[in-house]
Parts: sequence; structure tokens; C-alpha cells
Amino acid sequence: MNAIFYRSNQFLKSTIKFILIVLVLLTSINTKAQEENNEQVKRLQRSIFIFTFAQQIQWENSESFNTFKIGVLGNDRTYIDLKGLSQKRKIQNKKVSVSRFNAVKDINDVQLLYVNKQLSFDIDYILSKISGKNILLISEDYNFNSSMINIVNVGNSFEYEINSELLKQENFKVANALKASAVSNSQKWKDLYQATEQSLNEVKKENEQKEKIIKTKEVLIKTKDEAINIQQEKISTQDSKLDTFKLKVSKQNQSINELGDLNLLQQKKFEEKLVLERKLNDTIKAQIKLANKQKEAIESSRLKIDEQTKYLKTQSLEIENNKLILKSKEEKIKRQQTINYLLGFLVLLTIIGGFLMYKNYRTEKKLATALDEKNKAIEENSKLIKAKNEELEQFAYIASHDLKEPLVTISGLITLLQEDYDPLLDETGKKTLEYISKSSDRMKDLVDALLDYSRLGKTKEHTEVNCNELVNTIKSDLANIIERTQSTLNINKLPIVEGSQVELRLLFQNLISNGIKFVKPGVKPIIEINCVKKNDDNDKSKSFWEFSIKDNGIGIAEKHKEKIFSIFQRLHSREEYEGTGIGLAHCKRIIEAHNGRIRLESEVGIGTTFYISIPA
Amino acid sequence: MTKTIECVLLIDDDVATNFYNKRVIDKHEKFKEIVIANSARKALFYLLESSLGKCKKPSIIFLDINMPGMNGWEFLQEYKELDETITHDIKLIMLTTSNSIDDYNKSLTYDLVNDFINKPLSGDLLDNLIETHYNVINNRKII
Repeated sequence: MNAIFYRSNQFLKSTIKFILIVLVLLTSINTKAQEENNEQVKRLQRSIFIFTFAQQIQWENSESFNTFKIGVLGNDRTYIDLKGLSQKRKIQNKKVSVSRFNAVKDINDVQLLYVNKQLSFDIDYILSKISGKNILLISEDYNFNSSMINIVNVGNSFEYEINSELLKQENFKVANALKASAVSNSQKWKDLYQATEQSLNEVKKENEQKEKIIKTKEVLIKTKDEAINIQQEKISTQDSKLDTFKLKVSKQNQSINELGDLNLLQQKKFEEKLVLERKLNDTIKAQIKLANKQKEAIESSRLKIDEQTKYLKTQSLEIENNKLILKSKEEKIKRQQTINYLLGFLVLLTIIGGFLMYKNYRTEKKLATALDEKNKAIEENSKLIKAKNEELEQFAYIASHDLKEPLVTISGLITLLQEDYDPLLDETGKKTLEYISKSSDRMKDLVDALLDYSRLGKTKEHTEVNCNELVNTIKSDLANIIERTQSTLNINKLPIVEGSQVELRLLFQNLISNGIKFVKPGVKPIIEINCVKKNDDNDKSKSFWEFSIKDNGIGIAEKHKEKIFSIFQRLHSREEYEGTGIGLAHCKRIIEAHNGRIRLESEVGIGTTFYISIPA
Repeated sequence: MTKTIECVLLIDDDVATNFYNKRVIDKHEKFKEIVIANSARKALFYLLESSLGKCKKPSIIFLDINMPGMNGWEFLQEYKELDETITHDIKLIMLTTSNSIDDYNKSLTYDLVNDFINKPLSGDLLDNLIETHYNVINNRKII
């Protein structure tokens, strides 16, 4: 269904009826395919007609165009037909091009214009527009004498009429052949119509017969009318919908108007922008000028660069030469470098060595100074010790001397008392005097021992001492006691040593006396004196004499080995073994003054051996 | 052939020692008179007096070393300075408790010292002295 049919119901109804009739007619005659063929032939015929017209007419300006241009006005299929023919045929020995114009005002630069009345263009308007432009107008189905050349559909063919006057006005020359076959006046034109009317009447009679058939079919149509009515209702509702839609459209129109206002504003802005653009243009021009100047400058510098490249080329050659020289020199330098490295290494080594030596020297110097200082300190200390020792010895001497003096007087006085007053005293008195005398004698001995001890080792006078002689002297000195105790002295060969005669005599005397003294009652003392030369364990170059004095005495317990060398140390009561207890202390002091040592080996009840070592 | 010793001069600061020495000498029949000086200074003074004939001149002097004030050695220094007429016939005996070898050696340096003996004094010692210094002249015995 097409939208135009909705406008009015009546119109719609009649139109539908008409269409239906036509449809029925067409189907009943069954000429559809034939008509189609006829149509195609007519289209080709039309084109040939147009081409023939163009061939038969002379253009005043025919030399000014190389291509023959045909324009078709409106959306006409003839455009396609002409285009197809233009591929095959030429007009007046010129190529043909076909163009289409939608409006009369667009018509331009063509030699021939075709227009069909079906497309409803105003013929007078067209003529006024193309007048004086050497355009030949060929129209179809327009009124008699209204166009330049008008072609008319007659049955399955065409007739044409020529407006000679108009063609003359437009300076076209028409060939006689064309004029002869054209419809020349209006009478001929009418005859043409009458001939067609007769054939139309015949067709009408046929139509009347066919109407009867149609009437029967109308009944059918009525039923369809009802259906259409129903649809009409639907259409009316859609109409209302359309109305609302229209409102919307009006509103949108308003908004479109507003948009138009906006457009105006933007136009103004656009104008402003145009001004700006102009300014920009100016600046661009100035810059172009500047650029041109720079171009010139660049050109000049390019020349310079060219010169410089030449110069560079010569220099690069030189550089190449220099490189060769450099290479040889580099090799030399490398050799020199390795030599330099070696030399540097040597220098470094010597520096390190020197540094180490210097450091060593410094430390040695430091140590030496430290040692010097220490030596000095030791010297001072030894001096101090020496002074102290001397002081101490002096003190011991003076003290013992002063102690001894009154003691001597006491013992003297006791002797006087015993001598002169003995008969006056009873036994207790006599005993008392005896004890006083003994005590003071013992005290005198102790003080003497102390005095001796303080003096020992002071003697610096060392001479060669023949030990055998020395011991023999002692033997004769002790002859009485030896005889009394029935002692035996076995003296082997003894060496000559360096030392103090007096002190060594005291040493041996003490040891021999001890050997005689410390025996169990009833045992006859046997003393053996030996001497051997020995090497120092620590220093092989040094040797010493080792004397041994062996007895068969009571022996000394292990725990007393050290104690017995201390001053006034006694292991026994005076009633058992008399003595001050200073003998071995004296011995130790003497032997140490001679840079020697004294030790003992003893077994209790069997005997003791004293070992004395004196440097040889 | 023994000689009697007329006068003995004892020089010692200790009263008890002097008492004892006097007693020992008294008991000996060869000594007649005993003079005691309890200091070295007094002894020197006595010697000077005796040279003037004011008192009896000693023929033997027993000299102690260890004394307060002027000690034995200092006395010897003064004694050395005296006129030879005074000292030439006097026997000077050091009588000391000291048995120090140093003291003994020091005594030897004085020509005027005739002997060096250790206390206590005894009859035997006196006998010995007379024998040494009056019968056998210039025979000095080392103790």
C-alpha cells in the first residue's frame, strides 16, 4: 500500500478500483511480455531519432567543440539509452558524451538537450534559458510548435515536428530530408490523433465486454471494501498518532530555528576569525620573506661548506699520513710504557723496601731507647738496692754490735761473780748463775752469727784457692773433734778454684762439722768429699765444678730440704744437737756470693749428700 | 822478768763495763793504779793534765770504739796530734766488742795503736798483753 492513498477514502477507493481493473485487463490480454519488448525497441528508436536529428542539423559553432555533448534534463532513462548509443556512434565525426541535469538552471556547455514532458519541465522556461547558447532542444510529447524539435509517441513508433522559425532564430540549419518527413502543420497533427482515437474506440468496445466480467468481480471487491474499512479505522488511529508526531515536528522546527540563531552568532565569530586569518597571512608572508633571506644565507654557507669539505679532504689525507706516523710512534711508546711500568715497579719495590727498612730502623731505635731506659732504670734500681743492702748490712752490724756489748759485760760480770762469790751461794744460786752464763753465751753466739752473716759475701778479694789444702787445714783444725768422734774423712782430688779463702774455708768447715755432728749416737761419722767437672746445660761453653760432701748422718726429710737453708732454722732441740742454726744459711750465702748453687740429696737414717757447684 | 805497770787509763762510756774492767785489772797483780775516763774528751784532758805533771801519766790505755760524742777513732785523731813526749811511752790497746775485720784493718792504719783485743777483758788476756808488749817488744799478734 502506498502512503498517498491514505489522503481520502473516496479517492482511495476509486483508484484501487482502477488499478484492479487495469490489472485484470493486463492479465486477461496477457500481452505483458510483448509490451516489454515494444518498450525496449521504442527506447532504442528514441535514441536513434535523437542521434539522427543531431546528424541532420548544422551548428553554427561546430568548429569550436571537439566532443558532441548531449544533456538529458531530469531523471530520465533516456540518459542511459543515449549513453549506450554514444559508445557506438559518432555525431558529425565527433565523439559523443552524455550528461544529466536535474534543474534547468544547471544546463550548460551542451550541443543538444533532451527533455520529456512526463518530467513536467516548463518548456518556455527551458527555451529562455538556452536561448543564444547554440543548444538544440529536442522535446517529447510537448504541444505542437512549442519546442525546437518535438517527438511524439504514435503507437509503437514516433513522429516528430520541427519548429523551423525557432531553429532559424537559434541559427540552426536543418537538412531538407528532415523537414520532409516531419509533421508540418497542426492539421496533420490532428489527423494523427484521430487515427489513434479510432483504435482507442475499438479498444473501448473490448473494454465494455470486459466490464461485465469486472462487475462480477466488484462483488468480490465489496467484501474487500469491508476489510478495507476496518483497516481505515486503524489508519485513523494512526492519523492521530501522526498529529502528535506533527506537534513534535513543529517543536523540532522551533529548535531548528534556535539553531539558526546560533548559526548567525557563529557566522559572526567566523568573520572575526577571517580577520585573524588575514593577520596570520601577513605574518606568514613576512616569514616567507625571512625564509627567503635565510635561503640566500644558506646558499652562501653551502658554498663555504663546499670549500671547507675540499680543505677537509686534504686534511684527512694528512691525517692518514699522521696516523701511520702515530702508529709507529705508538709502538715505540708501548715499548717505552712497558719499560716504564717495569721501572715504576722497581721504584715501588725499592720504596717499599726502604720504607720497611726505615720502619725496622725506627722500631729498633725505639727498642734500643726503651732498652737504654730500662737499663738505666735497672742500673738505678741496682744502685738503690746496693745502697739499701749496704744500709741493711750496716744496720745489722751496728745492731748486733750494740747488742753484743752489754752481753759481753754480763757474761764477764757473771764470771766475776762465780770466781769471787762462789762460796757464798747455795746450789740454786750457783745453778742460776750457770744458766745466766750459758744463756748469755748463746746469745753472744747468735749475735756473732748474725754479724758474720751480715758480713758474708762482702769480700771482693777472690784468689786461687787450693781446695785440697783448704780441706786439709780444716781437718787439722778439727783434729780434736775428729779424734773424739772417731770420724773418717775421705778426701779425693779437689780442684783449684777462684774465690774467697776465708769464706770457702767457712763453707767447708760448716759442712764437715755438720757431717760429724748430725749422726745417731754411737755411729762413727764417715765423710767423703769429691769433685767433678760438669758442663752447663744451658750454655755448653760454660762448665762448673760440682763438689759433693757425703755423710752417713741422720738425713734430712724431704719437707725440710729448703727450710734448713734459712737463718736460725733448727730441726732439733739444743739438747740433741747443739748449734745456732745458722751454719747452712752461711753456706748458702757464701756459695751464692761465688755465683754457685747448693742442693742436697738425702735419705732419712742413711745419710745426706750436699752438692756445691762453683764456676770453673 | 816482768814489769809492773804503774798506771792504766780505761776509756769507756759504759759504767758497768768500766766496773768489770777495773775489777779484772785490780785482780791482776801486775797493774797498780787504774784511771777511768767515761768519755774520750775526758781522757784527752787527763792526758794533757798528766803531761803537765798534775796527775799520773798512764803507761797503757784501753780504748773502746763505740762511744757517744767522740768515738774511739775520733779520739785517735786527737791522740795523734798530742806531743810525742806524751804518747811515745804509752801502749794503746783497742778494747772492743767488735770482731769486725774492717775495724781491725782500720786500727792497723794507726801507728800509735799497739793492739786490738775483744771484750770481755780477762786475766788471761792481760797476761798475754804483758807478755806481748813488755817482754817481747814489737810482736803484734793477729787475733
